[in-house]
Amino acid sequence: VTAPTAGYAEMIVEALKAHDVRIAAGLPDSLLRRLHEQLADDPAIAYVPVANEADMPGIVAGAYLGGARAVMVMENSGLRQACEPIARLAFCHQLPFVMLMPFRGDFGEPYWWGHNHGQTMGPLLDALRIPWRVVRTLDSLEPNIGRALMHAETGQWPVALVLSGECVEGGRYPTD
Amino acid sequence: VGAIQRIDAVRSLAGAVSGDELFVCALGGLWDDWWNEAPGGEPNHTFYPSVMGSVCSLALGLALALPDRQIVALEADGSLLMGLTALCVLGRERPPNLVVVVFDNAAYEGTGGQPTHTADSTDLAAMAAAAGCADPVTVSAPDELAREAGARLGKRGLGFVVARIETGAHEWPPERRKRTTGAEDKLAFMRRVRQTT
Repeated sequence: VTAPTAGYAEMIVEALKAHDVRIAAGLPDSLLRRLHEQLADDPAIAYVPVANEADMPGIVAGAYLGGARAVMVMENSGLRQACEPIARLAFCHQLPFVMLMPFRGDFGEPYWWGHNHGQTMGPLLDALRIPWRVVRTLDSLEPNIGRALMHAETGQWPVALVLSGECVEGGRYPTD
Repeated sequence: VGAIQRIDAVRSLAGAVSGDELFVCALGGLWDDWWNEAPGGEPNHTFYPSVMGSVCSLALGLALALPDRQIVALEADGSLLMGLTALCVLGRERPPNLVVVVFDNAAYEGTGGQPTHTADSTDLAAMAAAAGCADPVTVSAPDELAREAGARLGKRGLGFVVARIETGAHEWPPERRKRTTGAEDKLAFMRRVRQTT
């Protein structure tokens, strides 16, 4: 553990609230540990813990149908778990939602088991035709959260914001 | 397996609701039954998700987004079994404005009637109770379904009703079958939400 990354979680929570996100479905992971904790503690956002990432697309799509902004927060391995509902809700219904996920497996990955998360993430997002962007610096967090919500809603399709560098715990991944 | 035909169970539920609710309807034969029998006729108060395993989570998202609306999920045993962890989420959130009615025919009817796990050892109401969904009930007669579902409407707490039904589908003529696409369903449903909320 090198560079401190305190602050990324507060910045994300504040950006979500500033953009009127009312619901966050989440399954904890170590790279976004404090984000999950702060979402759970913040009374302005309903944090809905799930036990399987496949339950998240339904929750956020249902929220969208009901007129509420919602996001999914999960490790990038959860993308594999949630592929079928993501695909069906996007391809059959053109339902937009924003997924926040850390780039486990990014360059400099310290764990052998984490590499496959990164190796499969991009190809899976591309196969699902999901626009995605990696955010590595704190100063680009808030604007890209706004862009992700905008892009999903105007495109009527899911969007993924992939967090790394300063925007995850641990300070192990590149910031450039 | 109970003694109700699915079409009778659907008609029974349709008689128990007001039509002001918002509905989520599991795919399969239920689509055409509800399309024809739901109050209002060809209603846009229902979202028909083209995915198994996400009916309860979609209904939960709606219930959280619209706490002043009554949400009713028409779930099926195959779909619920595919996403059983949703029961744990429902049991924790317990949205007071959601009633889940599971049409449990113990079979994958659309693929030839192969048995689901409720044909053998799985009891969905017991699983829902164990997951924290208060007071689930299993019914096996149409009047019982109308009574138990009706008693849970009115934003009185999370309701969970399992209707044990027979296999076998009502034969709808082609012109009576649901004919809208998933994209149309989304737009119509969202318009309905905006106009009535």
